[in-house]
Amino acid sequence: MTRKGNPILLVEDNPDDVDLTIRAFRKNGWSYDFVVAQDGVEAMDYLFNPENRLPVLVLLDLKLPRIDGFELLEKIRSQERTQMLVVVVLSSSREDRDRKEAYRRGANGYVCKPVNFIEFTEAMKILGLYWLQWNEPPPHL
Amino acid sequence: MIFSRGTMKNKKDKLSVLPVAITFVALAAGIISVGTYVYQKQKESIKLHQHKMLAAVADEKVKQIVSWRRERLKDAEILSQNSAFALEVKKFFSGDKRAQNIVLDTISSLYRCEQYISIQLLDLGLKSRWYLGYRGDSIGPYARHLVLTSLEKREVAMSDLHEFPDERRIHIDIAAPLTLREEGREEIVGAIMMRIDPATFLFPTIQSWPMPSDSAETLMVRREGEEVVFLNELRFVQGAALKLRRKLTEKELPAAMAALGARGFVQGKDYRGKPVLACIKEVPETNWLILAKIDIEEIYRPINQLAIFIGVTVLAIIFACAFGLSLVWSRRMRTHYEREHALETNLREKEEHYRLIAENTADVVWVMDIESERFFYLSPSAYNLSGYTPAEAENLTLKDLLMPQDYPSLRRALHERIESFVGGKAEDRVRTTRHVLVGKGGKMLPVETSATIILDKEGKPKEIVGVTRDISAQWEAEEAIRRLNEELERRVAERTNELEAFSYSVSHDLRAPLRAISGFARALEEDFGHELSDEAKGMLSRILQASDRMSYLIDELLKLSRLSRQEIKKEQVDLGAMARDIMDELRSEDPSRHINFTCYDNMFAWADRKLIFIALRNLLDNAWKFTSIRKEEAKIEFGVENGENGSVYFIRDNGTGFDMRYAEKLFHPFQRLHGLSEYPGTGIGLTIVDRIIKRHGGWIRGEGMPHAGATFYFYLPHGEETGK
Repeated sequence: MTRKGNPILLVEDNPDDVDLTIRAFRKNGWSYDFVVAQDGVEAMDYLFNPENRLPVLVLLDLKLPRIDGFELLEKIRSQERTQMLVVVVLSSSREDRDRKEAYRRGANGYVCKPVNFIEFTEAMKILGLYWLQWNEPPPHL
Repeated sequence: MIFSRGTMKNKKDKLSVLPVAITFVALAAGIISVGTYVYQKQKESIKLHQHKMLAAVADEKVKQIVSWRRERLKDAEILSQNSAFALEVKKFFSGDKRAQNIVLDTISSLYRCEQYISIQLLDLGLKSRWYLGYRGDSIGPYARHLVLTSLEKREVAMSDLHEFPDERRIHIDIAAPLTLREEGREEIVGAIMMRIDPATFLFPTIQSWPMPSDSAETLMVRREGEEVVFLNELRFVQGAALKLRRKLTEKELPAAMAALGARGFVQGKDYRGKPVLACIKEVPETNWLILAKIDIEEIYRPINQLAIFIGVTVLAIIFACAFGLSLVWSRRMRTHYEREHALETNLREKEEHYRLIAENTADVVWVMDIESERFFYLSPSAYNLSGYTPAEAENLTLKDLLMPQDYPSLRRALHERIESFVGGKAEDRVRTTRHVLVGKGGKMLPVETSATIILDKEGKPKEIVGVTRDISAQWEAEEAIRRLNEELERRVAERTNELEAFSYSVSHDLRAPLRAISGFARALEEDFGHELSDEAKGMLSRILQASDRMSYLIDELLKLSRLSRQEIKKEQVDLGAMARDIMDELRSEDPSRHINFTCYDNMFAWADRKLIFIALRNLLDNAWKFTSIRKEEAKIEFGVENGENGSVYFIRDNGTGFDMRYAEKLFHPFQRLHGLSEYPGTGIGLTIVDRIIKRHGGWIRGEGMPHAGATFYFYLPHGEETGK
């Protein structure tokens, strides 16, 4: 795997969740760099700046200040540079409405964050395994 | 009037008199014309027969007269040619007595045959030497001339009928020379004259008629200059012989026709002026003409009498028939009129009823002409609704009573409906519409109008009969309800939005801190576990458990809130099959349990498949859970009892049961009747079930006894009705 060097973009406004997510990834033995965006605007700033390296995976919370997850997802899919990025929604919500909206706007996956940290760690492990190890990314990377 | 109906049916009865009358008249005319024809035919034949008879009579008369005349001439001829007699006469004239006796004997024998009224013996000086019979001594100038002629011509001469100048007697005279033949030479010695009274033989011969008859007679005439003279005595005029003279110009007189040369049958008016049929014949060797005639009236009298009799009889029959028919007819008409009268009375009573109904209802009853849109009738309550008096209402049209913006559309709707109704859609006859009534002075009133289309006899739409009702009170109430509903709906929408926002925030925002609690507690345990005492580790574990449970509760709460918002799609669901699937699943989750599950067949319900599954799952979960105290004889039964409008299902178990005192609390969220350690659960399952059943328009209730089991009854309605 030669994806080392490309970071994971974590779009999440809750610092607790940021810490827990990064912790879960580390726990599972992945050493990817994490770029953390507090909201959609920060995420866009990073993604649409050609100097920045494109993330190998975008973990996207939906409820964000300023530009929320849905809007960001739409922006990502609308730009040629970013349209093929792997975006997995990480949300507390299991609402039909949210899931439907996320897939409609082009999410590659939707994971409801378990409250139990053991389960959460397990989920992140499997997610990482799938998207970072076994899934073949689009060829632009 | 408004409420009367047509009486078309009766028209047919009235018409049916015509064919009967026509048949009757035709029959009568037929009888009469056939009668007339037969009568005419009969008349012809009678006339023919009469012709024959008249001709026969005339012929007979002519023959008799001719024969009689010849006999008379013969008599004279015999004497005239008797030379011996002439010798005796010569001697007699010379005074020979013997000869006188011989002559007298001869003449006497002639006289005795009674044909002559007198016989005279004359000498050449025309002096009467001897006579026999009435006034034999005088012969008169007419006879003298006859004798002279006879002597001159030396032959017998016969006079015409003539009148003896002084006595007005009619005679025919015969004169004959008495010729003596001796040795080839002839000598006239004298003359004999025989006088005939026609009344003795000729007239009776003429007058006699071979059959009895009232008017038939024969008459004899001759022409004298421009006159016709009747020669014999007539049946109806005394002393007519030679006296009665008529002008030849009387064209209708058969005698005149005869004198002018007519022969055979003629028809005319006789001397009495009566119409007669006559047969004219000439009498040979004379200028006499015989007419056999009979009154036409007599000819046809028998047939006329018969005709009159038959005619009268037929007419009597016809009149009797007509009378009978008219009697029958009048009776029929009377019953008809009586019936009509009864109908009319009935109708009038009905009309009175309807009128009273129309006038005493608070609603306005009206009749409107479709074409003119004017009102034939408006019940008195119109004044209350519109403010128009009956007099003012007379000039109102539909347009005056509607709002200007409503009129075209209501009118169009009405006409579309009329068209549809005439086209065969019977349900379009009556329609109820709500609209605004514009009264006098623009006063507006919400009303409800039921309008019925009335067709005329030809099936064309004619009028509208309507009932208009003031619905302002109803309108206001409905308006209030509508406003309230709107308000409620708005509030519900508000609450729903709030609820959605709440549940969203619950799902999203409540979980995050919980995850942090759980996550960091775990992190603490992992990273600093070696520094913590066992007691501290135990506490950390309690924190983790509590956060897990809270997460579970949040999930259940979200489910409940989602149920309230989810739309229901009902379909036919086999509840039994669904229950068996659930039980199979439960068994596979815990194969150690032995449950006796019985389930009815064919339990089909009209329900939302997803929701009813959740409800059944919860109920069976409970049953499963609470029968765990039983080892072997755990029983769960799922069945149905048929209710009035739907089915009442029940799920019965012989598990722990519950105290009926708490039955109320069963369906409240987070209410638990058993300890959490005894039976796990959130206490929200039955609340969810209750919610689902209620959303289907049904109900659920539980019955139970501690340690004796529980039964949950739930009712699902048939069809589409749903609860709120």
